[in-house]
Amino acid sequence: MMLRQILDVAWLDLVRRIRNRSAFVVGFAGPVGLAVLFGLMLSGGGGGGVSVGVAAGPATEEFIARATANAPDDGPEVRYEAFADEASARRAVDDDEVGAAVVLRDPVAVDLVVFTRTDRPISAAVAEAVGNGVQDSLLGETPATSRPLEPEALGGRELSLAAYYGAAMPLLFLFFTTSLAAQSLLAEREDGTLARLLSTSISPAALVAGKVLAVFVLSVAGFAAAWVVTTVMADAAWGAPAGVIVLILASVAALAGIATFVASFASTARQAETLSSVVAFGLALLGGNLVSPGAMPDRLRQLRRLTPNGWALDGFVQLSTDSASVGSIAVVAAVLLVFAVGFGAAGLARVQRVVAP
Amino acid sequence: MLRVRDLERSFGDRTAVDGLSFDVAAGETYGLLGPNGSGKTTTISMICGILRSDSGIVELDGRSIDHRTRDAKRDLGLVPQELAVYADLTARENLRFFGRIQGLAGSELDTAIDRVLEVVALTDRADDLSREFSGGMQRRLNIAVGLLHGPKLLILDEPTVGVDPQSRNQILDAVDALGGEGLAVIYTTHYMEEAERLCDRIGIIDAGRLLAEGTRAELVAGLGDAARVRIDLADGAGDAVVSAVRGVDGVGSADLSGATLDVVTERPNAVIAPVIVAATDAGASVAGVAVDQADLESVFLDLTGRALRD
Ligand SMILES: Nc1ncnc2c1ncn2[C@@H]1O[C@H](COP(=O)(O)OP(=O)(O)OP(=O)(O)O)[C@@H](O)[C@H]1O
Ligand SMILES: [Mg+2]
Repeated sequence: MMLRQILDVAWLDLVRRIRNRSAFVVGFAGPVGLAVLFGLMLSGGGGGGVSVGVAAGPATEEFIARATANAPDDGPEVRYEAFADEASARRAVDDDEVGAAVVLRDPVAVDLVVFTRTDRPISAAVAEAVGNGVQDSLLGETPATSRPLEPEALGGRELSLAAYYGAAMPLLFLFFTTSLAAQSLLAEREDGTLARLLSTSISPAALVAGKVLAVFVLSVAGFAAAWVVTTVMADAAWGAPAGVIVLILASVAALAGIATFVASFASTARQAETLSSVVAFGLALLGGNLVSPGAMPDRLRQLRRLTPNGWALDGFVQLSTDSASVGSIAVVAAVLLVFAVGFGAAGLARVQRVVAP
Repeated sequence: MLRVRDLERSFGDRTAVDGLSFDVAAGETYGLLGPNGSGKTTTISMICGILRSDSGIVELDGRSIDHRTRDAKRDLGLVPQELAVYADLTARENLRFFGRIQGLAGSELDTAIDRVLEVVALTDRADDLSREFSGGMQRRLNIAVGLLHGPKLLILDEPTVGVDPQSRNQILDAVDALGGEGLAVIYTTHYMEEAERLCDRIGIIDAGRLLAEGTRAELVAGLGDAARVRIDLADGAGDAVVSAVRGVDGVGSADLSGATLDVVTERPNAVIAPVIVAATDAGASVAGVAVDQADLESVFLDLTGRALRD
């Protein structure tokens, strides 16, 4: 009985939303449309140029200077970046901050590693050349013993900007969509239908659950549509489908939690809408939904960690660039679930006051 | 079937319902007659379990009802004072949704929908959006939703407020017919004529208290041989006139609403002349005098010293 009531409430909400076009735009057409638009505008990009990281302990600067001096005139322009240790150099390649990296593990044993990415062949070639140069100079006058370097490919693909905005836009809209649950309850209170519902045998909890289910369905549908449409129309590479599905569900849950919490401070549907918009744009700016993270100042990049949309976006970037498995986004998914449960529980507790007699 | 005992509810330091007790028998139409703000809506909100009571008991067929009750509420049908239907759905869609929430389904639901559409005379508009309905039609749909699941007790909260005369008559006829079919009804209103026409018994409520209760005849008989004398004042209406008239020997109560002075008395013939003299002396000029037999209006006036409508 209770389950049936939840489904009835959810169904009613969905039907009314779809009939009321503005809500349909927020939940579906908006995110999908903007994702495709950004995707098509940016799908050519990817950028980067040739860049090589170097980590050779105290000798790092010297190697960079020598490599710059030895560069052939007709070769590509190369940007070198110094790293303190192997781990940070490797991470930079992983995150596509540099195209490849040369790391001197042990100057005495002449233990050299070159990290490359399959999608950065030119950077990889330059790094190998630099690596060989380093090896030669370390081995001194006996280049005969020089071993061919075995580049260690880190896999990974170029960050697809189409996929980036394909995820960033639905994440932005998610905030508006998910706040509709609380808004709808407040609107029913204003319209008088809440009193009637509460006079029936339905429990307040079932009523709230039905509203939440409706926005969940709408949000996931909008997000998934953005995924499919940008993949088909803008060649967006979102990465492993299982990971994408997990992240979409976790993102919707996290933002639904925050949106419910925020909207629970309002006493009318109109107030809830205004409040949600303000918080949505604030979080969107911090989280990188509007500007890609590369374009953000360092300090702002740190703040992304405070926002669920920032975490979610990081997760989508990882999936897109690392061809990562579901496991590698487990941390992101877990953090999102913490947002969902923490804010969701607080928000629902507050929303109960709207429906409780 | 419904038993209400010592029901109380305050909002802050304002007492909205102050120790209300009454019973409604199966098949009975019970009227709660009282002016704006007298506590009618607050009372029925507690009967329906949508508002917490501070204290008191509500029992429907021996099952107690409060804000935590679920199943027993299926025997209740509430028609809220404010319209409570979805404007963006058709009449039929509204009925279908609320019917499902009340546990109806399938052909049982379809039959129930057709039946209530018939009762409120909306069958031929069933598939129109309710926002396109006239005010009166929306009120009728509001009633249909409360009736749909076949409650044993139907509670109507001022269902005719702001309705055109034609829709009002349709509503009154429908409620009359429902009462005739054995449904118990609580009907709140501040229209005396509606209470007189529909209700088997009437409770008069003011400031959250039940002042008197009974059939219309019983209530009026309680006044003794009282009659109501209405004196229309051309000008000079004011408090001075009211207190002057109250001082006249034989006047039970007197109250001014607008330019009409309502006087309740057991000896209309004896007091008319001295009342007119007193009013004139107090500075008023009298334009007309009429003597009515006592009605619920005079009962209310007698009980509270005020007119029912402000
Ligand atoms: N939610 C509330 N908060 C504060 N005061 C309230 C609330 N609901 C009702 N009241 C007060 O309680 C008193 C009774 O109100 P109620 O709505 O029950 O009257 P009513 O008889 O239904 O009046 P009306 O004929 O205007 O509908 C009024 O003084 C009203 O101001
Ligand atoms: Mg009322």
